[in-house]
Amino acid sequence: MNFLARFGAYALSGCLPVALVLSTDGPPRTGPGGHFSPAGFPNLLLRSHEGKEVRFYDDLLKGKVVVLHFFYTRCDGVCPQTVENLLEVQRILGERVGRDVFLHSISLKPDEDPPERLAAYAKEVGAGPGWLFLTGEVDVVERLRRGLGFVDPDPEVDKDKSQHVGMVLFGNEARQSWVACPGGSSPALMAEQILWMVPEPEERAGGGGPTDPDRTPILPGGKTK
Amino acid sequence: MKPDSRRYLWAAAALAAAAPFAGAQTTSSQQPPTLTQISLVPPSVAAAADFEPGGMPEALAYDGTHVWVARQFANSVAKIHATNGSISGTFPVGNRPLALAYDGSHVWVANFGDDNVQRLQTSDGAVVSTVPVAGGPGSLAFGGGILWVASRGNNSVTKIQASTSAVLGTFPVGRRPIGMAIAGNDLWVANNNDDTVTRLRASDGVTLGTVGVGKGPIGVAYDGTRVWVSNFFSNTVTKIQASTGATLATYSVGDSPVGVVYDGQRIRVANSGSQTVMRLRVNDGVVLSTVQTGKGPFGLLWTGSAIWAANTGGDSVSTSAF
Amino acid sequence: MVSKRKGESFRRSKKGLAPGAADGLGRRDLLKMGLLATGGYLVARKGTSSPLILVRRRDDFPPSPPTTPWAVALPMQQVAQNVALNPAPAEFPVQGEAPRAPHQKWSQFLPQKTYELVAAETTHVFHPDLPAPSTVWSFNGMIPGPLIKANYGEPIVVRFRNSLPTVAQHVGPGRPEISIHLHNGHTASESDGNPADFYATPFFKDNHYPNVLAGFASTHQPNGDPNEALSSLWYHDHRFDFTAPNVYKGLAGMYSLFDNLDTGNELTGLQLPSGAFDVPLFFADKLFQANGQVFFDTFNFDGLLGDKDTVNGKIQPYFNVARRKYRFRMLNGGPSRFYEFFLSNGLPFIHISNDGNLLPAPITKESLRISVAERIDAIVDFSNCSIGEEIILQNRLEQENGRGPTGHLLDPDEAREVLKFVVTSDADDFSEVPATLRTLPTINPNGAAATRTWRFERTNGQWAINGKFFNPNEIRATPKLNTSEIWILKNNSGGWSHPIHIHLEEFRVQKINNQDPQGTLVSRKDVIELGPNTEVKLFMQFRDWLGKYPMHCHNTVHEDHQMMLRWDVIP
Repeated sequence: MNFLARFGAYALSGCLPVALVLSTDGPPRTGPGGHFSPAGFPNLLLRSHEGKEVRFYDDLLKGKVVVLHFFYTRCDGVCPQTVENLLEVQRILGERVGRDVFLHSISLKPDEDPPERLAAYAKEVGAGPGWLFLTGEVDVVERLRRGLGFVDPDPEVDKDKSQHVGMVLFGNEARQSWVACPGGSSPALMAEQILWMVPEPEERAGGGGPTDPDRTPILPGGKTK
Repeated sequence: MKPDSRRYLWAAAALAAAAPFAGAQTTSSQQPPTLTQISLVPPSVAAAADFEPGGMPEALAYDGTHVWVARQFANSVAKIHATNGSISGTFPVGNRPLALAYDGSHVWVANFGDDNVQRLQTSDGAVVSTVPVAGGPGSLAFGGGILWVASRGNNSVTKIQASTSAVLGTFPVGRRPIGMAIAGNDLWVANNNDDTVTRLRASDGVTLGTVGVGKGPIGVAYDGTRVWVSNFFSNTVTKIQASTGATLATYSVGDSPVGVVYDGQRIRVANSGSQTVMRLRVNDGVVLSTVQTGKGPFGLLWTGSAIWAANTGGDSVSTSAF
Repeated sequence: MVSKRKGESFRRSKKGLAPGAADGLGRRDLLKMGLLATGGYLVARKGTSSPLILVRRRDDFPPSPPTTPWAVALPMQQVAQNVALNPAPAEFPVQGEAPRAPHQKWSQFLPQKTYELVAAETTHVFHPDLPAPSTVWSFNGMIPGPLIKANYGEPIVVRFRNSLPTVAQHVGPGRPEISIHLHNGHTASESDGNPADFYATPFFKDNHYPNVLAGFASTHQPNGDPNEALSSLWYHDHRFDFTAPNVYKGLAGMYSLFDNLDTGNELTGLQLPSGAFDVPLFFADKLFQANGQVFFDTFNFDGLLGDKDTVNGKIQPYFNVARRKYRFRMLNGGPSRFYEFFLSNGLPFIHISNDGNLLPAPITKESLRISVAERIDAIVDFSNCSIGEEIILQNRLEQENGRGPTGHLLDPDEAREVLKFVVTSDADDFSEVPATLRTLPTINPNGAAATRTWRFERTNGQWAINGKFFNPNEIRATPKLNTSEIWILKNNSGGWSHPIHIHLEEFRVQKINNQDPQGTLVSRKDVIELGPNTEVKLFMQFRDWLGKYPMHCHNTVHEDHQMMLRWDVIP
């Protein structure tokens, strides 16, 4: 993957497709209107904590609003805080998780985190339906990690898993809309950011900001005013 | 970020462990009896550590006097006196020891992270030989002088003459072979990613058949006529006629079953999710009893007089003479 | 991936590429071939006989399509025209306006001029060699947006109307919700373009710019402190989490503000070069796809670097100049690149203004360092050049990723060539380079009401300030109206540089790494380049306006990943 690495590069709207796909994953995908649609997400094979084989693009991203991050079960650095926050997000979003929003936690140490271990972890932390813990071949996980930008420019730091990038990515694949926030950010704000990605039946009126007085904010604890 | 959050997660898990049937109408008297738990970490170390050091043992072996435990993330094996429970020693091995087997004189350990297996002296844990086995060796079985090694990463089993450490051959099986049992002249291998078990002729490694089982087969045991397979994601065990490969029955067990062992009368299953060990009647799969273990019981061992479970959610083993 | 070390070995090997080498290809030829053009991708070669190869240097993307340098004239920014607004702006939101708090001090500063800037999806030609016009988000169809020329004592309202595609229609990076900030403006909170006060199509918001001097309602009533006058500002979207892509797509423009010293007339006041010789330059580096479309990497949390340098919306333009003095208002429009500009013939820059604030006196320099969102006004005097002379504006600052500059200055022949001046004519020059410009305001740091320390950190690839991440609802500091404070900014984030911007008022650097500031740091500023292991002590004032404001890293990629905090001025 020397010559083309990031598959996560997007054209601005109205663009023609460009071959930015990893070479082995087939031709670039193009969406309706010739938009550079799923931007060549590789359709790599992963395995979930439920024991299912899943394809990164077809099963995890395509047409979905997703929350995605990298972790490993024995991480005693950023992961526990991030997972704790995502648990709170899960609580705030309630039944929307698994219906409108899908959470994907991908292990950075797939060797250490086989599906049965991820299954135990998911139970331990209390992850509900719609939240997948994923593992795969080491090189597959590495390609995803690099492609999604969870890299440090310092190769020494990048190698050290304990310093792994603690960002959480939120996206709407069909809209090619992606945003990332620190895993240690406020869960209420994360839930807000995730909901930006969920298509709403009608456009919001006027100001959409969380401080907009006309808007019902999500308060810490998931209650609405 | 917050040093406490790890503790929080484990504390949450501990709470869950204390109430295994949360939501059900259980009282303390209705809870299953709890096995004796032996921590593999000296109390002083455990107290000083910020969080559990996490040997997270998966595998057990019995040499007639001692139970051996492979602490996968401590890169060591512990030797525990089988009757009094005292830890006789902890010996360094390779990277990620995932499996153990006793060959009648020595203990074998599979170092998943180093792609080798090692033969240890039982007296002092000294390594007497190291045999490279590619593809992430993660399961061992011994029978008829032969040590079988299953490699999860390259979908093969390797046959080793235990006494000489000579590699006799490597044979293809299904994807992610993760558990094995010897049944007479055959070796049965659980192919975790294929939802199948493969039956190999031990003499020459030829595949005799493949049998579909539940989702995520992981543990394998032989009761003299039938092969038992635990299905991690289906929460079942499958009973197969060893001579024909015919599936005889599928029985529900607890959450996320892993280790399965035959104690001469009954089949015992370690439910890693429910943190229990169940005892099943072989004829009809009726659960005769359930006992509580530590967190995440994984490997299971029957010494002839006691059941042992390796608690992979922490750094302990659970045992009971019952 | 080519390491820094390889970059250096490349520099050594490049000697073999000098004109007259066996392959006969000099730098100029390579430029023509579009191979060497604008950094990001350098041409290296192995040995002396192997073919030229492209070495990916800074990122993993394919390079932008080749473009011929100096093929397009530098566009002059078009000046926004005063137009009547319907409905007329008012203290409270009018029909069609997005929700906002009422304008503070509205009746005191009734607008004398009104402007309408419409954000919409349009096309723009960054270079004729690109195969197709690029889709952009622009104001009034222009990249950069119209230049607003304003005067002290003349309040204005700018109606920023959102006519971008709806959120439901939009596909791609960025988000068609906007909140426009006038960078460096002494502006009330409700007109400041707060990151959380964004609005979608078809709403607009009337930003009230009273063009009043700081201190008007506090220390220097009623007209404010003339020494606080601002001159070179810019406006840009500030929608939180999406500022980098939204501004990258074009939602930005410049704003020049005049007073009785800096008059916009060469015959009056300081007699700075004016009119056609007062030239705002908006610098922005970008990446382009093979089809000519602008390219934004969503999956980069550290900072984006383009391999094409645009000036006023054109890639590597040329500018025909006369033999006289010019005032260049240089803005680094981001998102993540730092510049150190040199002129290829060694001509000096006469640095007159920092972040839009005239210095006490001009400082003559060989080079100008501009971090993201900083502005430098400099006078260049071409009067001793010969007709036909070509002078390249070079960026010689090495930068390989979003960390910031490496600390290494490139050799002149490796520099990124940004803009070419061609001396073509003679012209009258009534302008002056005055010995003194604008006196610094008198301040009293001993009267500071509080001292706050802010650590800019990076842990596990996350950007934090004092261990916390931006939350629009969390108020991290509440300075009282009309007080001053000492803010200490520390960069603990390893090898990273952060251009830190604080809204509302200029600050004064008191100490940098415990040393007294020197040279151009003895000035008013609104962005401070906080280099690795740097600590600055700033004197801050919170005069005249109430409400919420942010402080943030202006590497907009860091900003979008929550290296920002909210503080409120309270009564």
